[in-house]
Amino acid sequence: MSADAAAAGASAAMTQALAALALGGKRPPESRQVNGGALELLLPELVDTLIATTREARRMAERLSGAAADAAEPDGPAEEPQRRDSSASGWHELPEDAELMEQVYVKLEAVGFRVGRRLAERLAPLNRRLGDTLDVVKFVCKDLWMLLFNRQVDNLKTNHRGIYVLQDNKFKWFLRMSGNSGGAAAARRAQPYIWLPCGIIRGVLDSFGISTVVVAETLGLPQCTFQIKVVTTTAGG
Amino acid sequence: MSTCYFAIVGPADAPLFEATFGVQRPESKHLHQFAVHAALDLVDDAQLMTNACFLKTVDRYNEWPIAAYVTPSGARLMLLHEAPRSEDSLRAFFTDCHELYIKTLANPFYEPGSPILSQAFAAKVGALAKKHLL
Repeated sequence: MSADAAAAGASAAMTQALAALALGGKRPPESRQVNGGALELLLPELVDTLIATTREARRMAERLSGAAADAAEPDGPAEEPQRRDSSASGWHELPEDAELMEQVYVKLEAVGFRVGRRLAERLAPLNRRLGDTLDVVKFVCKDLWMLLFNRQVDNLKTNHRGIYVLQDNKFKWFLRMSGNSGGAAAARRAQPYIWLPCGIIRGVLDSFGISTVVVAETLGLPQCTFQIKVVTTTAGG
Repeated sequence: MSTCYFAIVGPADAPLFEATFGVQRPESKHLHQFAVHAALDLVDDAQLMTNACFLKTVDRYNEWPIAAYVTPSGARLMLLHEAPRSEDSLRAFFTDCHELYIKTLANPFYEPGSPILSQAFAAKVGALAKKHLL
């Protein structure tokens, strides 16, 4: 399926870029530098591409299963040229279809998850994590954020019972986003772009053996909050 | 060159890679695998004691010491060697293998937790063994 291949290719590209950033910082002689700005530009394209390919895949599936799907088609092809034209004015709404956005969320989060898992091994310093969840979350706040966004998380809150709240007041990927229609609409429009970091955080925590659910919300660009809920599993190795 | 048996066991206790360096006697191959996997419990115990990655020698099977190294994500690199080796050479071998493992993880075609089947990986591990383990 081309959509999955695109997602796999995207996670590969992102891991390579981030890994080159990590290697560049830690092991100077063979360091290869990656332009961080280029990565920032790549990521919105990743999100938009996933939305478009998911929509296409759904349309293909509906067409193959035939029947009543044809009635819903007419606005589909008409929307594409309009998207290309409106790119000059810059603002086009997210697709209204909640199920479509649900699928995009799953995919984006999965891409982030794969990236996070592979990143964690590279990033972790040689003194091993001591299985203390708080230590791992602090590592996420400092080292992971430093690698991805060149700054650290502003605020970390925990209730010591498995819920951690990370607050970033100047989220790097949101710094370039703004909209005419005001704060709330822009915050809603920026939702898909926050799913990827959620997945990355979840992947990093999972690779240390901590399974979690990560949810993010933004009340106003460029601020955003990530909430990590540790899912307690049955005792194991 | 005496025999060494090297294995990588994933976080879910599935073996990801194994290799024998030096002279391989067919009857002892199964023995090596058995001894190394039996030492996994001791690795888990040793993990709790220390914060370091390199766990030195965790077990002895008859007279064969088994050394272990734990990666942050929970994979275990185990080495059974028949002749005593210096700690530094063991540490260097494990560190280099860890770097190889990280590079394998970075490969998007490799699913973490699945066996490492790459010939290039096996060749590189062999070269490291020659370099560090004589």
